[in-house]
Amino acid sequence: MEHCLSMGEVFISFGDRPALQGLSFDVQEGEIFGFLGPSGAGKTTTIKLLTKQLRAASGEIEVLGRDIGALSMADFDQIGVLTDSSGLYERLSVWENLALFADLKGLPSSQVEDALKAVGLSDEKKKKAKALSRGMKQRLMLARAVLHKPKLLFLDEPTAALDPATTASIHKLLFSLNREGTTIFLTTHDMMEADKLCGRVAFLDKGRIVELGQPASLKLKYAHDQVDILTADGQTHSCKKSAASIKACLDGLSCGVSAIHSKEPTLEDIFLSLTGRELS
Amino acid sequence: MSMRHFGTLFRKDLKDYLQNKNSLLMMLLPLFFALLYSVIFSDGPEAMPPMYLLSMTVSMSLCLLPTATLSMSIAEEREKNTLRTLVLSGVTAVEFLLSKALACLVMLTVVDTLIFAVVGAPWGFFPAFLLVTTLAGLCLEFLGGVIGLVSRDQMSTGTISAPLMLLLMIPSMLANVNAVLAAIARFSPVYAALQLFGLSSQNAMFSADALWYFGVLLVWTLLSLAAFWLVYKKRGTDN
Repeated sequence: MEHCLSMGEVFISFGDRPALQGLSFDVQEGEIFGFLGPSGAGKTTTIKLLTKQLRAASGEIEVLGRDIGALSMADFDQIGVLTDSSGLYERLSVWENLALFADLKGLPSSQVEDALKAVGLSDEKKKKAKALSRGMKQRLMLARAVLHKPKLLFLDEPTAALDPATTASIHKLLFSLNREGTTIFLTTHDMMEADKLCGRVAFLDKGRIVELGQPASLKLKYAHDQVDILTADGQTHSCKKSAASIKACLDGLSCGVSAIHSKEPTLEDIFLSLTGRELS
Repeated sequence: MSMRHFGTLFRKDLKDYLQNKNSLLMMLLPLFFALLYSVIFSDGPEAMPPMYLLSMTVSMSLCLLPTATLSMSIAEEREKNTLRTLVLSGVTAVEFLLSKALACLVMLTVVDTLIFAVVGAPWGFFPAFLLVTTLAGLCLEFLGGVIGLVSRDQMSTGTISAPLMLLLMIPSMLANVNAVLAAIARFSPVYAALQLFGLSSQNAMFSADALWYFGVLLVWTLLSLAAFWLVYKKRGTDN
C-alpha cells in the first residue's frame, strides 16, 4: 500500500510556543487514520499544515505523493476538507450551497442530489443555510467536503458537539466513503469515535506523537496482565492472564461462571498513562 | 485562471449583492438622492444643471459602492470562513477578487446609468461618463478589497471605510471654495473622475488636465492593487 500522506520531523511554533515538535508519521492509502489528543495538542495545526493553510518552520510534508510545496490548486480536486473553520453561505439554500461547489468543480447536479441523500438532507434542499440546526449544518458541510468523491478527506473533529444520532449517521457515511476508497485523516478528542472509526490512531500530546498503532493492538500492549471471572453469586475473582492461572482459578470456584473479562484499557486510559493528561 | 471558477463566483457574487440588504441600501442611496435632487433642483431659482446633479450623486455612488459594499462582501467571506472554504476548493486569489470586483462594477454601472437617466444628463456624454466611472470604480474597488481583508468582520469595515469615504468626498465637494482643499483634491480619484466629466463635456478629454486626472486614476489603481496583493499574500496563510 502506498503512502497517501506523510510528515517527517515537522516543527512549527506560534511565537514562543512550540505547536509541533518533530512530528513524523505516514498514512496509507485507504486508511482511516486518527489523531487523538486534547485541545491544544496540535491536531488542527497538523491538518492546516497538510492543507497548506500553514507553512511549517522545518520538516517534510507530502500529500498524495507530492511535496506540499508542489501541491497546486488543481490537486485540491482530489482533497476534501472539513474543519471547525469551514463556513456556509447562509443566504443560500442547502441546494445552492452544494450547487455552487459542484459548479466550481464542474460536477453534474446529480452528484449534488447524491450528496444530499448520503447525509440525509434531501428534504431540506430549499431551506436557507442560516435556518439549519448545528447538526444539519455539519452534515451539509460534510456533504460539500465529499461532493467530488475525494481521494483524501481531512476531518477536524467532525462530530464535536453533535447529538448521538447525527454522529452515528456521519460515522456510517465515513465508513461508506472509506469502502469506496477514500483515505480519511481525522482528528478527535473522542476516544470512542477513534476506536470505532480508525484503523490506526496516533496519540498527540504537546505537539509530539507519544504512541501510534491499531486501537486493538494498543489496548493489548497496555493491557493489565489480569483476567476477571464473574461468578453466578455475583463475586468477581481476579487472576493472572495465563492459561494455568485461569484454570487454577476456575478449579477453585464453588459456583458457576457468568462471564470472563480481560482487563483491557480504553484509549483514554492509555493516553492518561502515557501523558498524565486526560483527552478532554 | 479558471474561467469556470470565475464564472461561478461571478454569478454567486452578483446574486449576493442583490440579496444582501446592506449592499442594496448602498446601491439605492445614491439613486434616491439623484431622484430627490432632480425634483428639488429641477427648476426655479434653485435649479441646478444636470451635470452638477450628476457630479454630486455619482461621487456618492463611487464612494459607497466600491469601498463599502466590496469591503463588506470580502470581510463577510472571511468572517463566515467561506473564503477559506473557497481556497481549499482550489479557488485562487485572482479568481476570488476579480469576480467580486466585476460584480461590484456591474452594480456600479447599473446604478450610475440610472442616475444618469434620472438627472437628465445629455446622452451624448454617456460613453465618456461610462469610461470615467469604470476607471474610477476599479481604482476604488481595490481599496475596498484592502479594507475587506484587513477588517476583522463586516461591522469593522465601516470603521475604516467611513473615514476613507469622507477623505475622498469632502475635498472633491469643497475644492471650489478652498484653495488648500483644491490642491489636495487634485490627487483624489473621485475629484479626478468629476473633473474628467467636466472636461469631456467640453470635448477636452486629451488636454493636459485630462491626462493628469487619468494619471491620478492609474496611479491609485496600481497602488491599491499592489496594496491588495501584499495584504492578501500576508494573510493568505494562518502563519
